[in-house]
Amino acid sequence: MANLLGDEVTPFFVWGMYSEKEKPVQQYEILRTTINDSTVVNIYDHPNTDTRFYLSTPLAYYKRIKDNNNQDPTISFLQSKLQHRYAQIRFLERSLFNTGPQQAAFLNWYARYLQQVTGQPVRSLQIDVVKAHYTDKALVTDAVYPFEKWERP
Amino acid sequence: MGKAVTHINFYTPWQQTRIARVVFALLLTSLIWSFFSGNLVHQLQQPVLKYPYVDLTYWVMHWFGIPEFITTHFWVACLFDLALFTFCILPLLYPGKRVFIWAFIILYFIYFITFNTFGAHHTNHKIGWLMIAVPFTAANYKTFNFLWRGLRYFLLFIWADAFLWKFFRFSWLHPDQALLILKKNAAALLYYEPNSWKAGLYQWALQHPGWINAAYLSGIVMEGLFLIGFFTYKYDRYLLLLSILLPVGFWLIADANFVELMVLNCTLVNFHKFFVRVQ
Repeated sequence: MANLLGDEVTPFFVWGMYSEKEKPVQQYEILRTTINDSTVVNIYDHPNTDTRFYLSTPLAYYKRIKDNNNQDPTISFLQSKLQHRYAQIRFLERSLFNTGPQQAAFLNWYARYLQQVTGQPVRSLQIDVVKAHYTDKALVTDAVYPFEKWERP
Repeated sequence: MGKAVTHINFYTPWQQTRIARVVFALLLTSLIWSFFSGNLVHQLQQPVLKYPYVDLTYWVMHWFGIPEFITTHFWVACLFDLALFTFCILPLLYPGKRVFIWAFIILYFIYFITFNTFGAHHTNHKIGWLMIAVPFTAANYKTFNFLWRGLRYFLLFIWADAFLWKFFRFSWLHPDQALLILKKNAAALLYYEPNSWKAGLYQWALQHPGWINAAYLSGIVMEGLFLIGFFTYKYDRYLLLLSILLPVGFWLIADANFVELMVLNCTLVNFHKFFVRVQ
């Protein structure tokens, strides 16, 4: 029943596997991280997909939070679904979602993780957003703009 | 040889022991791979962003603060990983000791939740590794056989479910569905490694969208074929082949990783052929 409704409660997953209709996109977004103003992090340098997952997905989620006025998108989602009843689960926010402390600590964690997987001391990070579009042959970069900057305290 | 109960050729306790060793050897290999890639709990560097989404299992785990407690205390994380390895190795040595297997499942479950929630994406990643150990908790070989067959149905359900969702969402009729998936998933690879062989494949696919869309439709048909497995065991060898082809196809076409699901393919293997006791 949960599967039919599209709800997931581990280990009862919905195995959609790209069943959702994809909408055409004009511009794609790639997050590019530069370590110590010199080394661009290429996630494909790491053969283990788990490492690529940890290098890319938390950063992408952090950007989603920032784009959502510093509010965890899951909170926004639940607020829109539950309306006034959201107040009944508000007490769970601190234990279940990413509020101020997690957001403030994120770049420190990202620097630590990068230091471990690259084996390179990380003194600073520059994260840029790359906007790109497809021609019928290749991906073409349109613009690059800064998103976040971090320096070791 | 196995003992026949109804139409199922049961694995004997001796064969069960050997299958357990195969499965736990695979599990150990995956843990060693995680260790050398820096993805065990103590190597996650005390991650902060979590993503329990609206999954009640994750909510309960976070409510009790279990993932946070393990990851924020480095020595607890080290002990946790040590225990995970220990209880993966012990069933290899003593496959009959169910307490070791239960311990492994509990630890791996915590690892599964911790890894995925701090990965900030609600995913079924590593579920195959978690589920494959469950049948070995059975108290007798008959229960083991039923659980093993149950796990086979779980695998069939995964692919059949993927088919049904695509079929009833009409994504098979959606124009350029496969091409749009490829464009979304391949953007990073095309940006970082435009000269790699895989980027070359994607660039070719961009120019020949018909082929990529045809591959997507073929994949849907392959997923649909798993429905047959609910009615007969006769075609398991072909389903085994498909359950290898599909994750490889996802990886090749969509740069998506379903490879770890392949551990569940063990349930489609006829181990009677490999483990024959000489009388």
